[in-house]
Amino acid sequence: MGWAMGKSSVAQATFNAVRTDYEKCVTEAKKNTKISPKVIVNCVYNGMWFVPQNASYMAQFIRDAGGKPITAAVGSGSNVVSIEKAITLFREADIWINTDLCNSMACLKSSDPRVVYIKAFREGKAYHFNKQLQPNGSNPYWDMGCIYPNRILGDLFHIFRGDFNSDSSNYYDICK
Amino acid sequence: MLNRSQSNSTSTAVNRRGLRPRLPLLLGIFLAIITFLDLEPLSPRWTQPGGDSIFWDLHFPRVMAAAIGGIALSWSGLMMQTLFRNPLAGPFLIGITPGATFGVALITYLGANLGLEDTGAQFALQPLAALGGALLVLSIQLALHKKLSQLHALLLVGLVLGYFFGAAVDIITQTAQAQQVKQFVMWGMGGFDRVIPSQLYILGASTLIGGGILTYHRHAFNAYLLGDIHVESAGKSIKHLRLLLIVGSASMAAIVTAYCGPVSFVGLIAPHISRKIQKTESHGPNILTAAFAGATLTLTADILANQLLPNSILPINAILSIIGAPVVIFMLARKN
Repeated sequence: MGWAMGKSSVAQATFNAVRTDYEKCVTEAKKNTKISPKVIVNCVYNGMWFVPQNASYMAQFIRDAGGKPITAAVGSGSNVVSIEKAITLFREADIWINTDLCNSMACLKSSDPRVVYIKAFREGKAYHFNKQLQPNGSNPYWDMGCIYPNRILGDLFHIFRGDFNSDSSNYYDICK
Repeated sequence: MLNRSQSNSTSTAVNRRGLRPRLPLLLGIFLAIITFLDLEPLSPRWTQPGGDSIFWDLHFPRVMAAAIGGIALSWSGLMMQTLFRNPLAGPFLIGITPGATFGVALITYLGANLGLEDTGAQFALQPLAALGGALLVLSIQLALHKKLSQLHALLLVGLVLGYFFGAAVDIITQTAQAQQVKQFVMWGMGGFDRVIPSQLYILGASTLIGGGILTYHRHAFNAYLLGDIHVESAGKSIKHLRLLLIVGSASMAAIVTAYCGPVSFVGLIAPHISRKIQKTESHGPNILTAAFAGATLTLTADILANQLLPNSILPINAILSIIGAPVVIFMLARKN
């Protein structure tokens, strides 16, 4: 895009800054291997759950931020699994992120009351990415996240380390 | 569907059933085997920590919902095929499924716009919305059934309502957010995993009520199949019978659709499989056999949906359509 606009050097500088920031965060996360929570992604859709595969971008994000993604299979996409299989896999999950439409614990429980079997739900450690959701449905998590993955990683890093502060986060907030 | 000569063969077949008392037993054993395979009671998964709660709260309700849903849909299909005297009638044809789909699309859309997401009320209201949509179609059908003396007019009303609600759903989908569309599309795939234990009571009760209507009025429904004149000569009211058929069949289909999403083909095929086994169109012997056929179909589809791929679940409707489409084509080809 920068090349097309005749500003390739500005674009390269911006990209380098994003990369440097991302790699700095990864290095920081790797320093403390004692904190490595088991993380689950997504939520229930009428008895079905989209679970990322082990080489998906989301699994990579979680690893880079110092977490352990709970995945369903090998690959770079996702699997649709039944709620039964999902709960069996996720029982011991420490943190639940990307709860999609749900911004509250009540919403998560209403989507399927059997999520109470998930440890992260019982401990209130569920996080949504709708902090900056616009009234027209536009969500900067998706719109800007592909340009600034360092911002997403920064949020996840703090969530996994246990020092998350919703006032200083970019896209994430805790489900209340 | 039936004429006088067929009526004789009906009673013959009923008598013949008396000579074959082992048939329900054999069907019962077959259904028990399928239920056993789907329940997997001997699986080592249930002995692991927390396995018993997974079994009773997640696995058992799914299998029971599949069995009860199959029975309800087969009886609903049997009654609808009687109502329209048409072997291809089913919940989709009289607009029940499109009505329920509209209800769910509307609540999913309104959920975000009315700020229900924080409480999750749109999820809790989903079965009620599906039921509301189905009951809306049912009430239109009931209001019109007194005015429309021709059966094909009632059938056409169902088809037109299907198109109407289908168009309304398209408009809602166009204006909804991506996440709402995803939620709605997943509902439309149908499935028994979403059923929670407390919902089994409502599913079971509606099936018992529908089955009760079917069993109690089975002789009147046999007369209805022979034609209006046979109903009147038996001292029954044709409009009253139609009302019973509409309420019984639509309520069972509506409750199953509300909790499990649209489940295709079972209501259409199960009564045909039953008639093939019983070799009669009389309702009495077909009640039990249709229930066995419906439950066997849904349980088999549930096993395949959950176990065909090691790390994924397949949509139940896809499985049923793959099984159902060739059966319907074969059936039509045989009739011709």
